[in-house]
Formats: sequence, structure tokens, C-alpha cells
Amino acid sequence: MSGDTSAAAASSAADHDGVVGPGTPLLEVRDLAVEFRTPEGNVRAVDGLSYRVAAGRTLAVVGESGSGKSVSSLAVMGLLPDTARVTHGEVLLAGEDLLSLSRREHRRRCGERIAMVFQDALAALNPVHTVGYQLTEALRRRRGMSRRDAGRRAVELLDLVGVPNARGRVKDYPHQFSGGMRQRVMIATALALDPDVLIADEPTTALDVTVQAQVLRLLAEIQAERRMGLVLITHDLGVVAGMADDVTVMYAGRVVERAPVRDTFGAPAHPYTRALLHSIPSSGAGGDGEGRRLPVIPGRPPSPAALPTGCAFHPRCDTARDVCRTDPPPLEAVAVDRASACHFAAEVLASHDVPPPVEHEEAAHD
Amino acid sequence: MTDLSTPTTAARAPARPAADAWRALRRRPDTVIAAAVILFFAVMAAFPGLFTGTSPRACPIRDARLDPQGWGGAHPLGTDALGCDVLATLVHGVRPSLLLAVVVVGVSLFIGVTLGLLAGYYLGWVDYLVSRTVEVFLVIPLLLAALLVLSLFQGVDLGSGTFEVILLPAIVLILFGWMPYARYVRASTLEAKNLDYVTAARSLGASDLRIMVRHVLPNAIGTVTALLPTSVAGVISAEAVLSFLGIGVRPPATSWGIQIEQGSEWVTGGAPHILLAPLICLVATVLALVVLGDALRDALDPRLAR
Amino acid sequence: MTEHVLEVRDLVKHFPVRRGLLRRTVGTVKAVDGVSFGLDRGRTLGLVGESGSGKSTLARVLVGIETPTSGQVLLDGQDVARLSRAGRKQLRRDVQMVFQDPYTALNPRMSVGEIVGEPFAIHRVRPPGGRAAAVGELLELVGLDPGHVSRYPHQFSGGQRQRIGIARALALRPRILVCDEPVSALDVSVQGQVVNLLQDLQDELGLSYLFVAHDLGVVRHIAHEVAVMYLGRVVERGPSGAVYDGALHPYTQALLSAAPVPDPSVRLAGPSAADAPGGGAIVLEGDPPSPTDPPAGCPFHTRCWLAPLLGGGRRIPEPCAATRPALEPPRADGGHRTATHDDGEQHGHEHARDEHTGGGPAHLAACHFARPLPAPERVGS
Repeated sequence: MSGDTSAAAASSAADHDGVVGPGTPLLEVRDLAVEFRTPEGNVRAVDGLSYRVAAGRTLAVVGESGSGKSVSSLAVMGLLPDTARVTHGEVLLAGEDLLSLSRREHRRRCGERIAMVFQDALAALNPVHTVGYQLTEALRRRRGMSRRDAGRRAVELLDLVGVPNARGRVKDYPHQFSGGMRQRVMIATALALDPDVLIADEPTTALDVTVQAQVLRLLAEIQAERRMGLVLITHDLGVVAGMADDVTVMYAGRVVERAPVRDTFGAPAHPYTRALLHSIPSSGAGGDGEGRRLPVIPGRPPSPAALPTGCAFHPRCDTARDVCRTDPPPLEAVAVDRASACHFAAEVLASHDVPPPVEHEEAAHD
Repeated sequence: MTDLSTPTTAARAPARPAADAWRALRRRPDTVIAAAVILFFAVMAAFPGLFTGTSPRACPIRDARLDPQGWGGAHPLGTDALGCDVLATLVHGVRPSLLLAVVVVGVSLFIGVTLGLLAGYYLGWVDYLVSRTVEVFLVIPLLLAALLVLSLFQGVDLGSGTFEVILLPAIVLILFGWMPYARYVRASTLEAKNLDYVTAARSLGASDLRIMVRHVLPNAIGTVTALLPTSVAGVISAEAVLSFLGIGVRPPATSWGIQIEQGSEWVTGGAPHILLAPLICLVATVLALVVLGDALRDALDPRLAR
Repeated sequence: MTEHVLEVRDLVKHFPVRRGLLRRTVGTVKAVDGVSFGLDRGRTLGLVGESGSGKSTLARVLVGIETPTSGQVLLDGQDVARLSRAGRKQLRRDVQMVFQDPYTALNPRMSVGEIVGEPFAIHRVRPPGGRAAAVGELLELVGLDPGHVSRYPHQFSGGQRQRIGIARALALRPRILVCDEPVSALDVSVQGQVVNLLQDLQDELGLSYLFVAHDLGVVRHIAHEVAVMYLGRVVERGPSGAVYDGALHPYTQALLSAAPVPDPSVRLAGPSAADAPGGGAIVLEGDPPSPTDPPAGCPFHTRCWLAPLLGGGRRIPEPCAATRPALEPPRADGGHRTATHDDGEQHGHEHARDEHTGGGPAHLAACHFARPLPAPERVGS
């Protein structure tokens, strides 16, 4: 185990030279709450989400469907649908609260400094315009670039994201690109205005494994090069482990655990995180179709419209006790840089019963 | 694992689509009003005697173009150019108008859905044939075709029963009314037939007929059901146009179309009520049906119902 | 030698590409291009591949939704194509399918009872005890409340819907279940439940599974044997442990290496990954080529990371670009094998023959230079 941590530490130190610490956040979300209006009444999709992203750092927001991870990023971008509204909290971009601005101003500010990459590039790109047009549109409108300069910049951007023959392909339409290339094009459009923060919502979920690796590597390289803050929204703990510095685990709209990635994966401080890590079928260990039951989390994520009382995770939790059914646990510090919303966080943290997730990889490693 | 067996929306457990649809309808007061309007005209069609005691065929010419006299007067809505009571004509014109609408929409729906389903499901030459036919019928102007039918049936005595008087306009409007249904159903069939539940049925060995009727149609019909109310409105308006040409509802029977046609001559001639009375009724019906159509579409869409 | 429950011999499925007014055939999508394997009772064959590898088409051929262009599908040693009409209907009962997307796999306008009971209606079977009782039993079997027969699919969560789909597939007591990405649309915490259910059902009912997936972790967990597909062909096949721990084909090695593992010490990017000796994670360049026009020779040679290394720099070794490698056991020394002389037209006849070499399933790879990856190269330190 110690070998891993030192390697991870070394790699993360190399990633950001130790210059920018977590003390200077580019983007900070404070106590964000989002509600949806439904015929059955108001449903709270996000409740008390806080996080901060510093330059050159990657924050992963992890959760299952209905955990509120995607809704929260829409709120940050000012892109919530009409049925939803932010009821509480602040979104600070370099110290300025975006939520206090008008919606129009909010989006304008975001367009300049925060960019977003979506899961489905085919839906996110306009099918009737060439990718060149979509790349130059923002440059010309926001930056007042001439058509020629913007065109040159578009080719540069496509080059940057590794689209082969960029000069020839600016005239192509989105459907003429493969899935992986389309995702690259979307990343290029996101980078057009040199954003400080990139929010990537399940950027590789729709891609094949080998293409996913390419796109993730691209994202990490660009981020390191430009010292962007990256918010990675995903359900894939493998991607989190490979990409992120810090992780925020969400369950039923609330943050259940917040920690540096290597700490969480080594010793989770919330039963949900622990169970989630357990339940990943690994391509490294076990298997052969024999001896075989996967450890699972019983039940399923609750609907935001009908949350259990007390701790929302208690019906599925293996360490739940009476207090969990009645009192919602607050998010409290359990160690340096770490917080957990569990009444028995210290106990969970102390129980080092998590088997190393990938045994043979480590054997090869040591 | 016991927890697994509780459905997501346990609160509204006994719901069925029909019940869901009704609940969604009730939440919107405009739909209730619209439904009341339609019900009102339906009752009028069934029992005209409840609304007027005057015969629409008693037309003393000396009483022509009387102004509306209000309730209690001999002619509450006045009389038309020939001296016929406007209210009586209106009330007795409901039945042919609504009957025409129901027959035309019903038959063209049947034809359109059948052809669209077959074309979308089998594609190939079936689709080629249906699609080209649709295009041909879309290209021929309705009025030209109406004149053609008119000349074909000239001199043929069709009788004067409730059904016979609407036969001619019905034929014309059905002939030129089925194409939208065919196109919509074809498009949604194309979409639905590639969904996994259709593949599942096919892998189980279900027959084409079963797949079409049980799996594709119920999911493809949604877009069309919302089209129906506007189509009914369209038919009633189109009948008015056909009346201009003389192939609308056959006199001595009356219809809103005929009334509108006749009334339009006197709008500027000092008797606008002859036109306004049937026109208001037509607009009310059309609007009510449009509102109902919207509500129906929302109610049948499972994504909106949730 | 026991007979396989299901055997596939040199299966080919091509789709014509038609263009223009006259619908002329301008090309062929070689979705499945010569695939052979056998599946035994109570066993699971994992079929792994990326989109466009033909794994889903293969699944659809096996359940009879598509008819093969050539090749044979044998059920208990009987050629399915030669079956009578009645025999084919029986086949439909023996081989059932579980679909990927639990939201499109169930007809939204049918109740759960109608969905699960539909197989009985289609085959005009009256199960012992009546249809309603049988549906109740099926729901119980997959862990759902039998009292929920009159509910509609939208009232259930993704995992529950997948259980309904499994119940429908089990209605006619099939012997083989073709699972096309059955858990990839589900939440992580629910995936395990469905995988465990499938395994319990296998133990209880002696089912054989063809488990199609792109998630290597799930396949390793459930499959006894694994076949890796690339551009319509099986490039590697063998017992699950052998394939995962000692992959022979460079494509399999890249796939395994590219799958993100939940271990923060294995970075996907950054200096530790890129500059490490051996390259850390193997990241393939480019996208898979189009199955309309697969490369000559080894279909993988255009993206292969190993070929340039072997060719001493930029050049690709001659056999890779010229001859199509057969699926066979690797040579002991791991060196270059004598090229098999099949020229695209009659490829794959060897594939059918190499079925039973030795006792258990052999570990085969379709690569001229098949060799296990030396362990230290996998993770940089």
C-alpha cells in the first residue's frame, strides 16, 4: 500500500508543481441547493453541496443516477431547466457570486471562464453547422475576431485536441466524425475561449474503452498544460482514480464524503463510498466465473421525491443503527482535508477492511 | 433484497394509463371547459328539439334578415336571407357537421394508420407504393378533386337520410384526408420498430401481425391521437369550403358550412348575425377540440405524465 | 467429448450497403466475419469488444433476429438452418435474449404481467397452473413482488426493469440466455445485484450464457471463457483467467490496459503514465477502422502498438499487413509463426477445426506474434 501512495503523491506533485495549493480556488460552490417543481410538489435534487476547484487541480464529483451530480453542474453554469431553481447557496467564480447576477449575465460570465463538456457529443453539437462554424462562432461573437483569425484559431484548436488533418476537417459536419473524434471536437469548442474551469459531465461514458483512454489522457494533458481547474462528473470510480486529485461523493443530493482521492480509495470514511468501491467488478481480481458472488449494495438509490428519514443511505447501509433512521448526519471533518457525513465516520475510517481493489496490478507494481 | 420489490412510485401505485390520463386532464381547467363545449354540441346534435322549437325549413320570406331578438323572441338569433330562423338552422346543422367530422376522421384514420403501419414496418416496395401514393394525393388540389367528384355524381340521387346528405363531402374529404395519418404513423413506426421491446417480441417468435398490433401500433398511435381534434376541426371548416362548390351537405339539410357560406354575403349588407352565429359556434368547437387535443397529447405521453 | 449446447461454426453476417435511387449495393458491412466457438451447459462465454466489433450482431443472429450470411449455428449438434418450421420455433424457446437498455426493452404500454406472460401467448403454451401463476413464479424467481403484475414499466427502477426483462426471457424455460450488455445501463451499485441474480439463475436452472459486454470487469467476474472480438472476428479466446492474466493478443492487452482501475496509483495521464518504461497504460491511436472496409492482413495492424516495436521502429512486420492470422494456440517461443495461407475468401475453415485440441478450452489468439505481455511492462513504477 505504501508504495502506491508514494507513487500517487509523486505523480500528483509532478502534475502541479506544488505552486498552487488548494487555498486559491478558481471556482467555489457554497451550500448549493436546487429544487425541482413537480406535480407532486417541490423536490430537492441538490442539498448543501459545497466544493472548491483550484487551478491545475481535478475534482471528481461521483454519484449514481439521481444523486444530483449533473443538476449541480447545470446550476453552476446557469443552465437549469425552467422547472428547477436554486433555493440556496453561492457559486463563486474568482470571488464573484454568479447566482447574484441576472441569468443572462450569469451565462455570459460562464461562457467566458467556465466551459462544459457533455456526455453526448452528437446531441451537444449542432448537426446543421460545420464544426468549424461552431468553433469560430464564440470567437467571433465574444472575442470580436475576424472571420480569418477565428478560422485559423479553429484549426489550431482541432489540432490541439488531436483531430488528424484539422485543416481539412473544419468543414465537416458533426455526424461525419466518429464518437471519439466528436468528443474531441466538443472539447475543442469548450477550450475556444480559454476557460479557467472545465466542467466535464460524464465525458467518456458513451465511448469505447480504448477511445475513452485517449480522451481522458487528452483532458488531463490539456488541463496540466493550461493549469485549468477540472470538475469531472462521473459514476466510474476507475476514471476517478485515474484522473482526480480530490473527490466529492454524492448520494441522494447530498455530499456524503469529501477527500483527496488516494485517501478515499485507501480508506473510505463513509459506508456508501466503501460499499461502492467493494461492488466494482474488477478485471484484475477474482473471476473465472467461479467462487463468484459480487459484493453488492442492497436496494437502489432512493428517488429524490421520497427520501428516507435520517441518513438517506441508512436503508442500504451495513453499519446503520437506530440513530441513522432519525438524525441526518452532518458533513464533518474526520481527518486533514477529509469530511464525511456519517454518524460513525470514525469507526468506518478505522476499520481497514477494504481489500486492495486490484491485487495483481500491485503485485506487478511492487 | 426485499426492498427491491417496491416500485419507484409507490405513492401512486394503482395507476393505469387511462387513470393517469384522466388525472392529468382534470388538473387543467381549460380542458374541462373545452369538454363542456363539445358535450353541449353533442347533445345538440342528438336532441335538436331541446334547443329550438322552430323548423329550419319554415322560411317565410317576409321575415328575411331580422335582427336577433334575444331569448324569448320568436327568432332569438334573427333570421337569414331567406327568412329561416338562424338558431333553428344552427341547431339542426350540428348533426350533419359533427357526423361528417366523425365519419371522415374515423375512416381516414383507419386507412392512414393501416397503410402507414404497413409501410413503416415492411419498408421495401410496400413503403414505396404507399409513400408515392401519399405524395400524389398531396399534390392534387382538394378543390380540383372536389369538382371531379361533383361531376361524377351529378344527377345521382343519393337520397336525403342523415347519412346520405353527407356522403359526397365525406368521400372527398376522406380521399384527401388520410395522408397525414399515414405519414405520421409511418414515421413513428420506423422509430418504434427498432426499439428493443419489438426486437424482444421478434426473438420470441411473435408474428408480424402481433408485433404490429400489440407492440408497434400502441406506441406509434400517440402522435396521431393528438392530431385528431385538429382534424375534426379541419373537416368542419373544409365542409364550409365544399359548400361553396355545392358538394357540401345537400339541401334541404343544413350544416354550419352552408350557413357560413350563405351568411358571408350579408356581412356588409346589414345582417352580420347570419354569418356570426355559425362562425362563433365553429370557432368554439375548433378551439375546444384543439385544447382537448393538447391535453390528450400531454396525458398520453409517459414522460410528461411522470 | 460432450456435445456443446450451442456451437457456432465460421459464422458470417454481412449487411449490404445500398445507395442511390436504384438501391444498388455499393459495399458490404462485414459485421461478423468468420466466428466459431462452443458453449457448454451451465457455462458462460463472455464476448468482449468495442462498438462495431460485431458482438451485438452475433448475439442477434443467435437468437434468430438476423439470419446468418453463411456458417452454421448448431443447437445440441443440430444445424439450425436445416430445422423445420416447428423446429425453429422450438429454437426460439431454447435461446432467449436479455437486452441492454431496460428503458426500451419493455413495451411501456403493457403491464408487467402482460410482458412476462407474452411468451406464453406467442407460443400458445399453457404453463402448468395457468399463466397468471406462472408469471407470479417468474417474478418471484427474479426477486420481484408477484403482486406487482398489473403495474407498468415506468413505475420501476432500471434494475427492476432489467429483472422484468430476465423474467420474460426465462418464461419458456430456455437453455441458453444471450445477454447483450445486460448491466451496462445500470448504476454501479445495482449492476452487482443483476450479475448475482444471473449467476444464481445459472446455478439453479443450469443455464448457459453468452454474455456480451464491453465492461471487462463484469465479464471476468461472470464468464468461464472469454472471446475478444475486433472488426467481426474473434482475435483471442480462452479460459477467463488465462485471457485476463496472460493476454496473448496485443488488442486484448490494450483493452485490459485501457480499462480504468479503481486504484489512484494507476494514473491515466501525466508523467507517471506516459514516460514510464513500457508505456504504462497502452493507449491505442485512432478509432477502429470501418467494418465496410477492414484492413488487409491482420485487421488490427493499423492500430497495433506491438507491430511497430517488432518491426524495429516505424515499419510494420510484413506478415501483419499481408496475411490474416488464424486463431490458434501461440507458439511456445512466442516468435513469428509460419503464416497461414488463407486469402480472405476461404479464411476461417481452420477456425472450425481448432475446436477441440486437448481437454479443456484452449487459449487461442489470432496474431502472428502472439505472446503474453511481460508483467513489469504493464504498470510503470
